[in-house]
Amino acid sequence: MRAESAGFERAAAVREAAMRWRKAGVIDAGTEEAIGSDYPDPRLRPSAVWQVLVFLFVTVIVFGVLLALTVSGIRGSLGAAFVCLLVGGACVYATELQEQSLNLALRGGTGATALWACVLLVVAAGLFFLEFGALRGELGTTVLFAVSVLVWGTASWRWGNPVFALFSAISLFLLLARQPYGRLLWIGLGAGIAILAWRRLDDPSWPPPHRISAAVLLVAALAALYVAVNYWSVETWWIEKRRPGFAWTAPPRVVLVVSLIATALMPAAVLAWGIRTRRLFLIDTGALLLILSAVTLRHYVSLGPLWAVLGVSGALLLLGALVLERWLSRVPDKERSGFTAEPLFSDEAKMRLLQAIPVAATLSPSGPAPTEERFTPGGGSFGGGGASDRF
Amino acid sequence: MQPEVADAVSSLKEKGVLGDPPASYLLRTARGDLVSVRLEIRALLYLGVLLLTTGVGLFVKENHDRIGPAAVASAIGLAAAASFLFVIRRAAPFTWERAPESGIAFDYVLLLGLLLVAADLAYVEVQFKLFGPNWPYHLLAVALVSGAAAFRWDSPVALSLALSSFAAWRGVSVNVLHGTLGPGRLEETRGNAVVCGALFVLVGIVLVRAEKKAHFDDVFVNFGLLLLLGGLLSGVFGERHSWGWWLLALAVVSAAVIAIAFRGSRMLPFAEGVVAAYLGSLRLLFEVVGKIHLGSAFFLVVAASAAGVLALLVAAHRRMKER
Repeated sequence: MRAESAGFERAAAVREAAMRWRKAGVIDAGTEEAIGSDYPDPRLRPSAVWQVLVFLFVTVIVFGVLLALTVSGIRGSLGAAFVCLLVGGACVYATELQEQSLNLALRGGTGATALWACVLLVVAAGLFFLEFGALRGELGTTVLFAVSVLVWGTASWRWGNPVFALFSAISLFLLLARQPYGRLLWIGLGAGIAILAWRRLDDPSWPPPHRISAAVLLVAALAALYVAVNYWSVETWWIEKRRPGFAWTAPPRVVLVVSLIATALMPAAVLAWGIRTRRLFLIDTGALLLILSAVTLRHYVSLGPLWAVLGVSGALLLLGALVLERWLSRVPDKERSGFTAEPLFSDEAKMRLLQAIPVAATLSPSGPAPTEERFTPGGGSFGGGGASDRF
Repeated sequence: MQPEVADAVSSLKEKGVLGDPPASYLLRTARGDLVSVRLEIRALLYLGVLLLTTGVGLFVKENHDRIGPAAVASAIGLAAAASFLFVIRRAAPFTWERAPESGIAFDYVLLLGLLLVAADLAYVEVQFKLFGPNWPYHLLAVALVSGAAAFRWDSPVALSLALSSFAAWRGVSVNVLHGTLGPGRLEETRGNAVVCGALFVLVGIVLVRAEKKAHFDDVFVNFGLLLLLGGLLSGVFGERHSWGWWLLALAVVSAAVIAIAFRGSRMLPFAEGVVAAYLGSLRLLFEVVGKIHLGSAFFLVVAASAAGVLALLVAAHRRMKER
């Protein structure tokens, strides 16, 4: 990341915090202005909707040019690889130019050209490997994953994008799965990356985007570690199956027993780690792993009919959330061990509005055709909620 | 932890920009010594409602023959009543303004109650055929109950359920993830989408003008525009002969939406208008350029048109900031 951009990102973190303090009424507008002048960030910062809009139109431009070049007489994989390389290279250049411009750096175009640059460079490498006999097939796929690790990793480091760090980590673990002892590599490197990323989470020498990338890498490494030790993954050789020439054999009993214990313990350990260090992203990761372990348990052990499992789980979650909120709120300062259910600096009115989005996406009913000629009961349904009239 | 923010708080306190309080409190949050799990509690509540209502749906499906319709309907009704009892006991007094939040669980328990009512109504309708051939009216009933609950208890979540149930009554799905306007005949669904969308937008505008629940206009207007512009776009891309008329209508509506949103500095409707107008113009580009030469020229024109829109967007953003 350029030193100037890193400096702006540090100032932006302080300005953003000041804005949230002011919105929560902790400081006044004058104090926010004073903080803003102490921590200047001259970059133009449009709202998220603007950024998405610009992202979409830049994407249309990139693909318009790419398709125009592709259909203009290019033949074979090598020709297509050349076009991808050309447009990908142009996107890298465009990203660098935008990064250096105070008016363009945060408009949304930088993210679009950076994303498509990486995608096109990886695709170019894949098409190039198709053309050369030595790299065609399994070897080419393995090398392609290695290229993907490097491209996404370099882009993340250079342009400070945590999503690219995630893509790099996914490519790395897919690459490792194709190696001998892939599962052991997942465990070893997963643990190693987790430790390294953990050490960088609060490193003041790293700018905020790189620290967020470290958090993303930590979550990706924990996810890989969990997949490697999960009972179902071991029993089905899920990782080993990615390797060319895999031949199925029954997993050793001792390995299954160890994985059974790890499936039960790892989510609890991550959750406890998150609670002890007050890292919300670790608590969220632990909770997700806990759900996955519960699903694994349900896969092997019949806990009752599905409706009962879902109903009881839902009721327990509701009850758990209510109890947690009450427990945290029933003390004088409304906090226990550094945790609170109060909003701190979030905009609650906005949050209540945003709640409508997942509800509309998952629980909205799909209706029947309005003028059916014949009576066919059971047309409407209440989506993901399952409160359905289809009995 | 946010090292920059923690350093800044200490430095600002030394300079006298920040007093104490709030400096110590801000330092605690910046260092991660105090964190809020409010979002996590919300996620648990949402997941709980989702799983519980899915479980109830499956239970009814698998057991209604064994238990009997009256018992099933009563059980769901009782569960819904328990949810509403919780809501009534916790609710703040009615106001036409934005009501204070009645606890983090309030909206989710209300949602649970409404979904259980919806399931119960649908079940009763299937078993006892109250509406007969007009059975989709149970969706209208759900929309009315949810709408009344949304206004009484100031809940955007209940309002979104009301609007999506109302649209579903007319055979329109507001869920963009489905990728279609609805399961019915396209021409009818398209017309219903346009009418429902226009109605929602109109109600949103009326609420703002009347200063009654004016903060609901975000839900009304954005749901409405999604249906209105989606319906018009469906006409532009789905009609072989009359697409030009649909495009004209889309152009007029999009232009109006963009202009009004620009004047009011409302980003989301502005973006919806721009994207819809651009998508509609692609059909025109295809008809004009694509039919002559569906090759590199067509794609270059598409790229150039996107670049033109981008330039206009940058200019519009500058004007918005200047005002």
